[in-house]
Amino acid sequence: MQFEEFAAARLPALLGYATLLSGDREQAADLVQEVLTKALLKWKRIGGMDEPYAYVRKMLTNEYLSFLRRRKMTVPIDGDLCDESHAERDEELWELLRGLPRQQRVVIVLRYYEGLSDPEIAEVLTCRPVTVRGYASRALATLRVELPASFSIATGVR
Amino acid sequence: MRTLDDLRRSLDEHAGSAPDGFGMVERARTGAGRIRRRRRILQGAAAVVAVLATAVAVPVALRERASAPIAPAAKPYRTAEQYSLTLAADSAFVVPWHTLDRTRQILSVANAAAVVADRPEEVGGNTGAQVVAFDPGVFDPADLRAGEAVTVSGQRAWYAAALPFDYATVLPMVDTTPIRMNVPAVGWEGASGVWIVVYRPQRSTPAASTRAELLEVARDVRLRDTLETVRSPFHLGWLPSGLTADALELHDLAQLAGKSVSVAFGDGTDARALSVMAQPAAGDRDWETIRPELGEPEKVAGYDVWYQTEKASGLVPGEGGSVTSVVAGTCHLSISVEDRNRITEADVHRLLTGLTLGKCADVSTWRALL
Repeated sequence: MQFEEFAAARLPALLGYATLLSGDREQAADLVQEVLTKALLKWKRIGGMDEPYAYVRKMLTNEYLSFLRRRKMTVPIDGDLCDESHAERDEELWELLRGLPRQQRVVIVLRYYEGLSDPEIAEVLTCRPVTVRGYASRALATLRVELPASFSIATGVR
Repeated sequence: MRTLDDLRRSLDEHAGSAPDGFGMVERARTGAGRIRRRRRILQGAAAVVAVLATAVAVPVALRERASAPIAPAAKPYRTAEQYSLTLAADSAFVVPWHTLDRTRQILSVANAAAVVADRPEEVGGNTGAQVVAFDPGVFDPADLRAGEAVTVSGQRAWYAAALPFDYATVLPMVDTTPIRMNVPAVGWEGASGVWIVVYRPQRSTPAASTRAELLEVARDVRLRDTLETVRSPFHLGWLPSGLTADALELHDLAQLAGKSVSVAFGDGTDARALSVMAQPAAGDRDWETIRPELGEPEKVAGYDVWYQTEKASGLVPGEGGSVTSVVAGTCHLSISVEDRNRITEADVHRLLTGLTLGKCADVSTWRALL
């Protein structure tokens, strides 16, 4: 796959993912810009992979985590993301999400936005699936999300 | 309490507020979007210029109009490893990437202040441009000459607000399909019939400042009388018969915590028969993913080597080809072969045996490619 083809098809998804991770449009654009540049420079490798998007998404995740480390930032607050039509309930959820520790946030976004399984998330984060489940469990508790019983059994989240 | 559906809905809605990606691909190409790590690595534009004077690589290029082919010069002006296109030493611009192929020299020119800024988008001013020097006989100037007559450093030049070009990403290891674009451009004929075009890839109507900014970049472009030869962290003591360098892409990855060099070797019919890429081992995040699945390496010329003909660790050789990963001193090498029957594993080993390496992150140790 050529870089231009990849960018045309996947740039919106990467930007959406980056926005959910960073909680900030500008930082999301910065993250994606950096990762796109790096991906372009290594496109021989990446373009030949079975799933370039998965690989670039992993790059983006790493960039997000390192971005926060470098700048010693907490997850920023940006009210611009919530327009006036958003329900108060959603705003509260979004605020809680933005307040999550970054690894927990990554797990939540990968699980419920990108639709990855725990083993897939574990691969992205270079950790074990049990660790992913631990992050998810703590994050969902913080977000006060009620899980159906069948879901808890299937995913191991308690 | 809320449900998972609430969570998913919230994520979807906020993801929908993501910024659009307009211009990101172009900025990825030019490196203008780079923000972090630059100050630590670059330590000043002068150092960058010094480094880049020996370096080569840019993923962006222009191609002459296919509809108006011109016969190439009888005697090549230069080989792919040679360059004459540079910027003035005192320029306010720098060249993060520089690419060469058999007929073109391409500079990606960026604003020096923006390159070292934490937030280059807030620096403002001239963001730079792409500069292409077409070897004699390669560029058809007819459309350009239909534009506005201007002067660049005392030379007659032309400005075209919408010059038709086939805009393509040029990577030594990848063939890409050009996209026809109309770009704002300034161009003039230099010594020996070399045409230099300064342009800015963009899909929208040029801003009012574009003309002046292109002219500002153009004033800093220099075409040397003598050709310089690119230096590389790897020197090849042996190449399969008939191959010569077809395209080079040497990044000063100041923005990316390192440098890398990619060279494609061809024989006139197969432009990508053999490709070699080198990058500093330190900071190669891909390697963290790739290495665990590669298994035990074999030792070749003292290097750790993994020869692949099948997909592994996300590395996928082309059909009938091979990819060889090498850990060699401070460098990671990737050697790609299109036809492993023509260039065999033994050939790759022989190439590695004849290899001389400098330090990937230290250009002072680099030498001629061949």
